[in-house]
Amino acid sequence: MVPISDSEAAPVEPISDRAGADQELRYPDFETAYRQRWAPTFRLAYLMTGNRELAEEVAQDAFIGLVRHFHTVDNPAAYLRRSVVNRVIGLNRRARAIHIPLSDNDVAVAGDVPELDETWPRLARLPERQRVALVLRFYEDLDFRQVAQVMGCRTGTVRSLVHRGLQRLRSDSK
Amino acid sequence: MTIRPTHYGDDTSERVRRSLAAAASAVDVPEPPAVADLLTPLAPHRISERKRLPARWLLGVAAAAALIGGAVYSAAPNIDVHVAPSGRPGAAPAPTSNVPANPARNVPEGRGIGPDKVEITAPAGRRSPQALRNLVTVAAAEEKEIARCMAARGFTYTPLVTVDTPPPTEPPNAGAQRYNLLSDPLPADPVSPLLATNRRHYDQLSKERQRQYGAALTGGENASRSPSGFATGSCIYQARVAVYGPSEGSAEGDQQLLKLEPDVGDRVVRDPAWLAAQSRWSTCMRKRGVNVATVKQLFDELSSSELKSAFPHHRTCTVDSGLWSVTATVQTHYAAQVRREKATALAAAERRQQESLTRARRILGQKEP
Repeated sequence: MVPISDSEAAPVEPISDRAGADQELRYPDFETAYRQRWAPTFRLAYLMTGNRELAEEVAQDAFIGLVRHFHTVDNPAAYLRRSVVNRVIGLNRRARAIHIPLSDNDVAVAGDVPELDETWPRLARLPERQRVALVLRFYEDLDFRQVAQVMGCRTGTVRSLVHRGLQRLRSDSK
Repeated sequence: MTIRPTHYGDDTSERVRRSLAAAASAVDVPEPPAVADLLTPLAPHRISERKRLPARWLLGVAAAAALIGGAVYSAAPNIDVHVAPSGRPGAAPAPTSNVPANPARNVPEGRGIGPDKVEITAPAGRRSPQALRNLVTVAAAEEKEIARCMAARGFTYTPLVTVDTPPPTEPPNAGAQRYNLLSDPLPADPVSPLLATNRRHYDQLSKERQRQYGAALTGGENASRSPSGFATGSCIYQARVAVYGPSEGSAEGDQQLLKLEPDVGDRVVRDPAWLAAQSRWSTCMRKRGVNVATVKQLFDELSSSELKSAFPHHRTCTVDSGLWSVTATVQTHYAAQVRREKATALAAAERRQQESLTRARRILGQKEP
């Protein structure tokens, strides 16, 4: 079983979810939560890792962490989000063997997607915490305070991460 | 994928927003594993174990052959396979593997592709039914210990795995499911009703008792942690120690070690004979209109729908190019090589696993067989 950190298990304030206000969602059972949250959790992990295989791993680990104490978690979606963030940030820190270096193939997605410009590969190459902050801010639509809560840092730190991330994207394009 | 050039102005954040939304909607979402698999952490087919394999594409080859033969096939990559020589001109050369033939498992002529008889013997790393039951035994003991620990702290916890829980199984079409080729419903979920029982108990507690319950189960806010990352005061950690003993932190690592991964996979895909066979496979695929250079590329870069179309060709080319038989041969060779090189570590891991099983049986009140 994957270790569960306190920060993952600790209750978090309700946070709006991209797919809807998950603070209102109380899943009747684990299976329902699993079926409904698998895709959003995988997608979030994918945006943060830029790697489909790794994202699947991270998403599964998040659910393994959730299953044993699902009954003690009031907000599974928030728990999963925080769990994904913790695992993604921890991947490099712990230098886990499963980490797969990002390559062009990793950030590529099948098909010709009109909105997918070169921002996406540049995003995927940002430093880990900057990328995570940008995904939470601009994909999950969390405000700075909420991002700080999920990442376990100060609001000012998040502002700085987002600012530097955007700045780097601008400079990379020049 | 076509990547359009970008010029950033003041709308960088909006571009980020659009780009993330586009990437999220474009990525293929894989099928989730069965719920029960989340609770049998050492189950052989857990994604987290499969995905750590550096040679995932090997599984594609093996899955193809399993489909050809209609054989039930384990996800473990260190399979021993044997392709019977067909005698057909131009067919793959007979392997020099020393894996003994098993005529009983021969696929009848007329099945699969042409006259080739694809024979799949029991994989070396594949678990026997007893080994799979042992996984349940260990998980059930862990759950029982969690319940005992929680009870000692004044809480009720219903074990999510018991000795009656069906052992994990690999469905016959698992290879196809892994690549989203089929959309079978998930297996039945035996866990949710038990979780609901725990939830009912939890909901009846006051807020303060709920906090205490969480702390008892997973550890408090500032709990000290074991090297494996578990809060040492938590019932989950104590259950692990009770079952895995001093080797608590190495339980999952041992499992990986005993699968001989990643060593075998890495060596197989660097083997000259394997690379030559892959080259023939690529030529065969291109002739059939699938422009891929490597098997890895096939599985990593094609979308689910493209892969579904390409799979029949992959199946044919895998056999016709000899890739399947070469994989069998070199894999057997390198598995033996790794076993020799890591004999001491493997023996130690096996011993630790056996000790865990013994402890688990003792916890469950079972006799040694």
